[in-house]
Amino acid sequence: MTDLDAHEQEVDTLLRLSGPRLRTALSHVAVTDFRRPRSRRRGWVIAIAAVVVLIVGLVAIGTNRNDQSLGNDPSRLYYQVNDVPDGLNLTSMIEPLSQSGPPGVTTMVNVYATDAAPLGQIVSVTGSSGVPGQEIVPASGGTNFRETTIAGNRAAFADGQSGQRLLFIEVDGHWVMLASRNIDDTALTKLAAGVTRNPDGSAAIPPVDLVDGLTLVLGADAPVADLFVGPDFAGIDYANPDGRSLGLRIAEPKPSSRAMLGLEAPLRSTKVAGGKGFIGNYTFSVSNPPLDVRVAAWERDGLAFRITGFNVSDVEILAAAQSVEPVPVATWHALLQRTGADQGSTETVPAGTVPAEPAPPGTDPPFTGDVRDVVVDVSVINPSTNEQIWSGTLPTGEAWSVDINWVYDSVAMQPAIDGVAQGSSYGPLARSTGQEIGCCAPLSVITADSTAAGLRVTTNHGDRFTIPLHDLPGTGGLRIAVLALAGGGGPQRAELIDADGNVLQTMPGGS
Amino acid sequence: MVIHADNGDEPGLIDVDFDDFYLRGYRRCLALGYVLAGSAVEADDLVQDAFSIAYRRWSEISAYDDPLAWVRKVMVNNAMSRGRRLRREVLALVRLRNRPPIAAPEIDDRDRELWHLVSKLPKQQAAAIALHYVHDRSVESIAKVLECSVGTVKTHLSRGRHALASQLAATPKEATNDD
Repeated sequence: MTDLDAHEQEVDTLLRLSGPRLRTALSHVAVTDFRRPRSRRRGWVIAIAAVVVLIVGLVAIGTNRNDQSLGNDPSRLYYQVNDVPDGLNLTSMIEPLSQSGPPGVTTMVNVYATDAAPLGQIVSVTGSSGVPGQEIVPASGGTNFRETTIAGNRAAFADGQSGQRLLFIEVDGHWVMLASRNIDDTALTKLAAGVTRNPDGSAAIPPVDLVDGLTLVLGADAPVADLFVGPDFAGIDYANPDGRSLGLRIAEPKPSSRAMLGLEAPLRSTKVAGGKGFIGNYTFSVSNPPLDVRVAAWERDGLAFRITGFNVSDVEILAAAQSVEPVPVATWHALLQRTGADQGSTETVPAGTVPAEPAPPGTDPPFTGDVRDVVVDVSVINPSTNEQIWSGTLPTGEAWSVDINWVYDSVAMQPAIDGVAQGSSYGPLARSTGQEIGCCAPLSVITADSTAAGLRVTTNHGDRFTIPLHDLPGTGGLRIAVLALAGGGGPQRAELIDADGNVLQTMPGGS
Repeated sequence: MVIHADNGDEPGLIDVDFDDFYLRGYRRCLALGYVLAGSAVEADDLVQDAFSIAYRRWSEISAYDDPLAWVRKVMVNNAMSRGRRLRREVLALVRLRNRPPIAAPEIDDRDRELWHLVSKLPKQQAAAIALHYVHDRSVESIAKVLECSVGTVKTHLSRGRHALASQLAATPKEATNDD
């Protein structure tokens, strides 16, 4: 590489020194056991199945084998769905005992629930590990924040993705997150007030504070597989290329998995598969388009059944549940073979041979002509005291938006173009003087400079926008301006300007 | 199963079966995974996924000149895919990031911070920087992995360095996440 400017040269030197050190450090890591695949699927199916498995929380159905678990007869978990929604085909299967979490990694989450789980009171307590970059940042964890103080500690209530009630509280200088269902704010406050932080970074509610039948059902020291994919379950997935899918999981019933199920989705009691069961749904909004996630769960014959569907109806998922039947060993293996037979399918697009995607804007050559001042419409609303949403339309016709949440000294921003998330960023709310411009998810400026008036952005297409600063309420005079650009690509130049257009600060661009 | 490694890119991967290929290649890919994913746990996941795909197509992959380059390509593709981003959003949703790193690699704090920033760059830039500075790949070799021109690789490297310069000069806690 040649002709590096001073900034680049510095970074180049840093990277040249640091790269070999990183390589050396990781060369001492033990090679983890290779997880041999049990089935062959297209990439998107793998991703969807992974999300299904993760969301399901059936991971909690675990790795902690004991004398009451499968023993030597995993075939008792062999089931299939006979009434699959139209258009969905068998895509993959999971053999019992085939999944294992990373060795030595624990959940770091304490989960408490009552005998009524997956209904009733449920709360999980997640601590900050203390590792830089892995701390809980409250602003990134929810919406509709309400700051408060609990037992002299900073705290904030918020709403979670699927309607959980969240409560962040600072304990010993580290943030702890409580995620709950069916616990009112007063009771949640009492639980949070007693939370203690352990030397490993996990956090717990002392037994004396557990009331109304709450008991510990999953410990922070349990293998992470108890929270996610464990070996003791069977799975069978059906999907179509349009994003509709259905995944059946069968496992031993466990209090922890019931609690995780209840924490994940808002459930109601109903008749499922001819007996008592639960059904619920929520919108997984970080995907595009948003996914409707629907869950049906029931227990029968000493087993726990769980179906998670993406973009399927109540009628379809209940019909699917009703049709779940055991599968003879020979049939199960034949189905396994069938999913495996997809391996050589010409339909499968080998990774690395897919057509190259169009280069993102950030890779465009630098613009060399005259810049054009373009008026970009900007709308700013404050849905709550700690949230601000910016939106507008770029000259390219793309609709852009940035959702900003701030809590105490942290801020999180979620940019989108035409509704498609463009990454996210989070960090401290206040920025150092002279370093107020941040790039690029989204491009933003947060400043306390009263002479500043706006953010001026020159794109790689030669368009120049000026975006006025807006107040961030309750932050002691901080003002903000943001802009989302597609593809995560940075602008050619970003400047903080005053009312007369004088440049107060420039962010190094790509030119 | 025999691998014909004849381009000098990855010496030592000759005459091995898949298990050997995995054992020898795992650590070589882990650093790339670490930079792309931002943590050792997710790096392991990324490496495992890529090797799983290689395993399924081993009869084909094993005949490639440089199978490990193919694995790296899969890792980069997976890191950028919507499905993986979605999955990692779910991980974030349930606060998995608070779990300790797998096998706790001893990485210097300064390096950890630097590569954390790299991991938050647009993935093409992060991949280019990881391949260039951690794996000592040439821009031509990186262009093959990223399936782009040499000029584009240079652009990725340059933009990545500029972004890093900006972020290193700014508040150290600032973190962006393109997952």
